[in-house]
Amino acid sequence: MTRTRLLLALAIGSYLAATPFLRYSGVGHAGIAHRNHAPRHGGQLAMVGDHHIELRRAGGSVEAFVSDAARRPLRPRGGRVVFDDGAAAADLVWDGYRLRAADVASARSITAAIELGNETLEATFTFEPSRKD
Amino acid sequence: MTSRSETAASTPALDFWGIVLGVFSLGNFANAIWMLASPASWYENLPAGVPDFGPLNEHFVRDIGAIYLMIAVGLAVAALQPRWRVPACSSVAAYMILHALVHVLDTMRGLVGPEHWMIDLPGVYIPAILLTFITWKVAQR
Repeated sequence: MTRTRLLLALAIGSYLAATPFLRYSGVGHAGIAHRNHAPRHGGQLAMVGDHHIELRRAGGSVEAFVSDAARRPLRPRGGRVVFDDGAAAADLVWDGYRLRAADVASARSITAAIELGNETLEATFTFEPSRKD
Repeated sequence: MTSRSETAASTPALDFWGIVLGVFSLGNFANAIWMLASPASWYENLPAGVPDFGPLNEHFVRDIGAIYLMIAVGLAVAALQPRWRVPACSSVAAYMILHALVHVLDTMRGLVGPEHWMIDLPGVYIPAILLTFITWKVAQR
């Protein structure tokens, strides 16, 4: 095999291998900020400035997913959730890919204060009573 | 008695298409390991806009990771064993074409925005076309 054919084979193989991992400038999410506000984790979504906070209650936990204007995930330093205007509170702690805190099942509103860089993002979420209430 | 051509066909050989398929296999292997080891990280960070298609389901990401691992194995076999290239490449090409058609369907029905035509072009559509071409080429040999 000539060197040219070897390089061509490596180039084709590398293209096929790398395509899923490349970030394509000029296409995709950089140009679609603020278009899609659908929750992605089965929770409720709120916007604070250009940031998105999605809050989900699952398995006895409150989980907060934070992303930027283009829905790219961010890693906050931490945060706190306040249940029912101060009836209870808990710290949000980073856990793998989201912030998490112990839930208070009876709470109807949750205010999340999330520390991201030098700012605090705050949003309040309200929840309908469950059928057993 | 084994003929010379049969012996050559069953001998591991990294010719032109062997190198292409071998490197392609490595990419699929890396993608599979990422999905199996850390599905949430893969979901959030793959540049292809995976969250646009729906919420994270770690189980399903790992299911797909298992598929990509088998694709990597199939491509590695195709790279090293020329006589397995046609069935292995055909199977993977069929998967990639069906995968591309699912993306076409989901973009056409509005599950994701029209920007996904461009997002998916280099990562989904072109690889499916290219592997179909490669399958056609290795079948001619």
